[in-house]
Formats: sequence, C-alpha cells, structure tokens
Amino acid sequence: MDSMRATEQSDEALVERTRKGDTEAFSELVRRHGQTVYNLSLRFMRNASLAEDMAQEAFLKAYQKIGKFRGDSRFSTWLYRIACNVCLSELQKRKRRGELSLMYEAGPAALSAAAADPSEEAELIRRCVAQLPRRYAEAITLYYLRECSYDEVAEIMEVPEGTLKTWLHRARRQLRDIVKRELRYDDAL
Amino acid sequence: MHSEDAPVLDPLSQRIDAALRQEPSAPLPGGFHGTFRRRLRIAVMIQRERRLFLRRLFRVAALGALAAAVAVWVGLYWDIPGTFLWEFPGFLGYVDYLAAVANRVWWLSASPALLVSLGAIVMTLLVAGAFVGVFRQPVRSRAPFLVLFHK
Repeated sequence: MDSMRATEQSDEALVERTRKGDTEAFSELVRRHGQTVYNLSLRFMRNASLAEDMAQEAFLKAYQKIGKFRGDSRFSTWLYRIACNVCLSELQKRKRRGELSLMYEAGPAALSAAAADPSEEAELIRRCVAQLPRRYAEAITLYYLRECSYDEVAEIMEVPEGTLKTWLHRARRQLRDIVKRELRYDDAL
Repeated sequence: MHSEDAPVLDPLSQRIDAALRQEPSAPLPGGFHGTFRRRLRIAVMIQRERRLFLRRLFRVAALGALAAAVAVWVGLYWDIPGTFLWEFPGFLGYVDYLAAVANRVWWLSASPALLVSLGAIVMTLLVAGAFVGVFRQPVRSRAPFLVLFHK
C-alpha cells in the first residue's frame, strides 16, 4: 500500500518523506532515477560493475545529504550533480594512481579492432572523454546524455549557459586532439 | 537533441559526435535495487549509531562542564582554598615544599601557561581525532583497477 502510494507521488513529496526517515520513499526515488544515474556513471567509468558501484555510491551520498537539499533545483538535477562528482572524484583518484594509462597499454590490439569494427572505434572514442579536464568531461558527458536538456546541463554544472557553450566548444576541440593522438588518425582527417 | 547548437563539423569531429550521440542507453543491472537496499540499510544503521554516539558524547561533555562549574562555585562559595591554606596547620608549608620539588623538575617548573597550552593542544587533537573517527566514511570496496577499461 505504502509503495503504491509512493509511485504516485512527486519527487519533492518523496524527498520530504525521506527526510522524515522513510527509506521506502527513497527506494522509489532510486527506482525512478536509477537508470539515468547508472547510464551517467557508465559514461564516465566505461565499465559496468564500476558504474553500478558509482551509481549506488551516488544514491547513498544523496540519502546522507538529503537534509541539505534546499529544493532550489529539481531533485534529479541535484542527484545528477552528486553522481557527476562521485564519478569524477573516482576518476581523479585513478588518474593519480596512474590507472587510466592502462587504457593505452592495450593500444595495438584495441586499435586494430577499432579499425575493423566501427562500434569498437566508437567505444575507444568514448573512452577518450576521461582524458579531458574534469569540467570539460562533465560538460560533454551530460550534454550527450539523452535525459538531460541543454539548460539542465548548465544547471547541474552551476554555470551560465554561455559558459557551458564555451566549455563545450573547448572540450570538443581538445577531445578531437586526444582522439587523433590516441587512435592514431593521420592528418588527412 | 541539441541540433540547433550543432556547429559545422569536419569528418573526425563528426565521427566523435556520432560516437557520443549514438551511445545506447544501458539497462540497469538486475540486482541493483536489492544491493542498494542492503547498502541503504547499513548506511541508515551507521547514521543512527553516529547520532547516538554524538548524543552520548555531548551529554558526557555537558555533564563534565556542569560538574566543573558546580565544583568551582562550591569552592568559591565556601572559600575552600582559603580554608585549606589558613585553617590547617602546616598546609602552607606543605605547599611551599611541593613548589620547591616542582622547581627541581624542568617540565614541572615550566610556566603554567605553557603547560595549559600543551594540555589544550593535546585535548584538541583528541577531540578532533574522535570527530574524524565518527564521521569518516566507511572504506568502500573497490573493484580491481585492471577491469576499469575492459568490459
């Protein structure tokens, strides 16, 4: 009965119930936004089990900080911001430990597979996003996430739309250079 | 989506744009909700324990402060230090004896202000350590890093 009532309620009402200690209400929020948060994590982490771990971490953080959610923005916007921060912090840690460079050690095999299969090539291109500076990687990932509108990306990143456009422009230019270097495209492209 | 903002792209940029745009939406893994419910239950228990611990900590601190305040008030009201110093024969001499002994030990003869400062620093470190211990996030199990970029 309780869960049936939860499915009919707005995010804001569920947040209010969660604040009062109702974990069932929060579970409903997880059911609603789980897939988007998981896909967002997957785009950052490029690994299914890591993405699942990061998505759960993001939801746990959201639960712990729900008292600080002021309701200035939508719950989903606030939640995606947390998910981005969780994933980017984890990537940062892995970058510091030099774990991201493993991507290039597997280079020759991955490159020949990419040359033969366009979907492999697309996957390698997507992995290059992790090499962008933090804010550019975040902008590009959110921009191409289907569930996020243009102004929502700016809201999630807490920047004006003009700034977001500039960042996206720079991100695309940098990503082009990274892809060209990593996938060893010749200058003809 | 976002087509109104799309600039004119060269072939490589088009390939990058297509690769990012056409990434399919993955379904949520099967056990996601079950695993999350378990983690949420643990998080709720940890939060409750932290709250209880902090409540106890503040209660003990408040009781300690109250006891100290009462002791000071009682001491001043009945002039207990004065009573000890002047009413007991030989007490003042004993105090002089203790002061002379203290002067022979370097760390006891250091100025009281220095000792109080050192004590305050030690207490601050202990309290800060207790707070860090209470609020530290549990170490999350990490997937082996080798799988990061492998499906």
